[in-house]
Amino acid sequence: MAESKEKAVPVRMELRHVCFSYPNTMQKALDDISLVFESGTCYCIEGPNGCGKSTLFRILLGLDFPDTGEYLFEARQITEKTMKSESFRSAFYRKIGFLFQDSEIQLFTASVEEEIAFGLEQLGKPEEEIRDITEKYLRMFGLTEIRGRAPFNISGGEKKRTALAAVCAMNPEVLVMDEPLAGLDEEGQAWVTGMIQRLKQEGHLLIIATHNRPFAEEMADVHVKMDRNHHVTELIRGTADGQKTEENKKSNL
Amino acid sequence: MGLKFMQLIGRLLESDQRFYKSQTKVMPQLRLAVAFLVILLCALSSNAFFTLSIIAVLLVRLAALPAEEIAAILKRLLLPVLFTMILLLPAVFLSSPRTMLTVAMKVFESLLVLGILNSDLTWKEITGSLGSLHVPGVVVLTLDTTVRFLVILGRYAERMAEAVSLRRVGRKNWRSAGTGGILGTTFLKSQQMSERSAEAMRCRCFSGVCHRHGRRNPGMGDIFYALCIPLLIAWFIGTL
Amino acid sequence: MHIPDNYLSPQTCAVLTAAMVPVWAISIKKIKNELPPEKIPMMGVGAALSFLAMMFNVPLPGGTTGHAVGGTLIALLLGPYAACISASAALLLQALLFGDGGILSFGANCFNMAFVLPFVGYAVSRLFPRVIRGEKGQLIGAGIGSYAGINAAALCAAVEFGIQPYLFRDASGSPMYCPYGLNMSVPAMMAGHLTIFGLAEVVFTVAVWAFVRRTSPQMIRTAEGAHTSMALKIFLAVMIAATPLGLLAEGTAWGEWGTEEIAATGAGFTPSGMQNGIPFSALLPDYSVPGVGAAAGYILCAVIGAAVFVIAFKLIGRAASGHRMAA
Repeated sequence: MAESKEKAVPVRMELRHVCFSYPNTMQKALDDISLVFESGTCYCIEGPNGCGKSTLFRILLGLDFPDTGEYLFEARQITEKTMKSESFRSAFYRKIGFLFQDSEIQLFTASVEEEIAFGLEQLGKPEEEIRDITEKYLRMFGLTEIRGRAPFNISGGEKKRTALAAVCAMNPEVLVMDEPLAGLDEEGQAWVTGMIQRLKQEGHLLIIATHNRPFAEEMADVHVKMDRNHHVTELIRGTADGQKTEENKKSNL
Repeated sequence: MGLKFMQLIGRLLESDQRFYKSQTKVMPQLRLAVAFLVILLCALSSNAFFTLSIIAVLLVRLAALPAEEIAAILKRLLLPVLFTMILLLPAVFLSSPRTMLTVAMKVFESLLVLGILNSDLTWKEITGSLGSLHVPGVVVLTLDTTVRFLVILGRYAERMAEAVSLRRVGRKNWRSAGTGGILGTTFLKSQQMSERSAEAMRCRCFSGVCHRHGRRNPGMGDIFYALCIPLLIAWFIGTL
Repeated sequence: MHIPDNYLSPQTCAVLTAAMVPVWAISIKKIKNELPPEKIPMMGVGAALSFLAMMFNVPLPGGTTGHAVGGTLIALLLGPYAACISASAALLLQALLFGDGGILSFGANCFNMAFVLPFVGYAVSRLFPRVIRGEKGQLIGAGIGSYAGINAAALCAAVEFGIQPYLFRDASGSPMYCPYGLNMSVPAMMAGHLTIFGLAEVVFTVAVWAFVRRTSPQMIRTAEGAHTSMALKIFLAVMIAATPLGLLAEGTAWGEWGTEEIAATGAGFTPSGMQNGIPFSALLPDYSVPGVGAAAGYILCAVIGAAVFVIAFKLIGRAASGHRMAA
């Protein structure tokens, strides 16, 4: 990812009038959401707890599927049926990486280095290449010292770095992050912020949910604000002067 | 209960640290095989000399360990051996006086083998060696997951038990002890976590296969352990 | 109920391990069919839970405590097949990492606690909701099922113990493993399990079950979830009936071999001097072996003695340094 040849390939994701409610509930978790995500842009999703951010992420990641409306990933509609195909699923998750809010849950192998190698193994890369990439990411994320440790036996900051390294090692075009700064100390926050900056410069499509205002102000090209009544507001700003240049309000009641 | 959880978690974490420190070790498969063989041969043998000679070697091996580990191993060993002696005491007066000593001695021997094995075998080596013995990757992953959730859920249940005990006043009975609540909540939490964990695996292209690294060439220690196998069998036959 | 090594003969352990192989195979197959590959963490979680359950002391009425095994509960929550694999994984880790239960007797422990316990518990608890409708039936089912499950497992363990002296004796006729016959092992095991341990299991199972049912009913497996397959039911019945028989058949063959071989070499315990009291100091000299001679005994004695001394000094040194640090 550091080298220019690994520059991200442009990707476009689109939600069209997506509605979703969890089984056995009347309340809609997402109500007629339309959004477009494009490469080279950083989207910060902000909103109070329970506004549907997690649900939105689950849909973007193909873990849940819209009740009505469409979710298109590179012009291909993502449905339960398309995700059943193993080859498609593998190609899809190669392109989209997810950083969970709770790293503890995301890390499931016996050691930090296996964690980084896991996705590469699943992609069927040759052993040599896996070793090289693993080494590279261990160094890049400062994990060489603790490479043999079990992920449940390292500090919170190290867990977050390991999780991010494991996701980045697969070199996905899209990175979806749920509260990447939550639970980190100042140093850890600065480190993760720096890494996200770097990913942004490399042209990845970043979708980040955050409660951290200064972070969102620093990172976002587009602020997506969600509220409890399922309004979605997009605030697009020019990256150069940091001013909000356009306001595009959609009311979905 | 709390103390037990702490010990369990501590043991797992410590085991992880140790694995991470020492990389050049005898192949765990070989160590497991030798331990298994020793226990099997002693169990089969009706010659006390054989068992005693094994105990002698084991004690020498034990003596080579640091004092901390010796204490830990002996602590875990004494209670079961005493228990065995007491349990088998009536048999002394019931026409089989030697059984108590035979069984107690062999229980001592097998617990010593397991104790020494436990003290320097880490869970990663166990799961890793199973992987290289062609046990399906799914089983290996299940064992890894077990250890991981032991730590995560153990911590969780521990914290909850603390919270319950802080709120509780007066005598302890099964209603107020919150057993159902603590373990029930731990169960629900565990289900959520296992679902999220499964999703995390899915998001990293998990397809049901998994590999395990860490094969290496046999060294001197391995050869020594491998030699132990025929020697043990020969000694067993020799002392029959 | 974790049987350590040397309480059961290796032959018994081998038979029980062999009996577990088809159970494991069927369980893995069932799980693969019922659970998608992503559900694998569930089994690890189940194993961790059954591990933790065994460490949980349940306070009982009257001020005593007892610890549960929790096999029936896991079977009710995850299905008996997943419970079988989970409990086996827990038992493997307990044996290899914590020395709870032996490694020869791993198969026997799995047979009792990962096979008989969850399957019997599950099957019995399933009977009640049919008779008594609603939540009450399920709760009564969970309670009685767990009681039946743990007692069935204890009975199996008792039978395994109890057949040892009939089958395995050394040259001089002393039992080599558990010396108590069925007439003693069954009452001894069952006394504890019909009372304290059985009660602990019931309290544990019902309490957790009720909690999960109340707070998140969708987690409870519906009746149509996992049916115990007929094949496995029959297999279970046959196994329970035939295990003692199989051991008898197996045992005589081994026993004869053992007796003959041992008698031929003339080795074994020297009966004299062992009849009463058994003084420890007299232990070593009594084990002289033809062809090895008394010298070997002394060498052995010396080796053990030296090792024990080193150990003792190390422990004393540790205690002393501990005191210094404290002071």
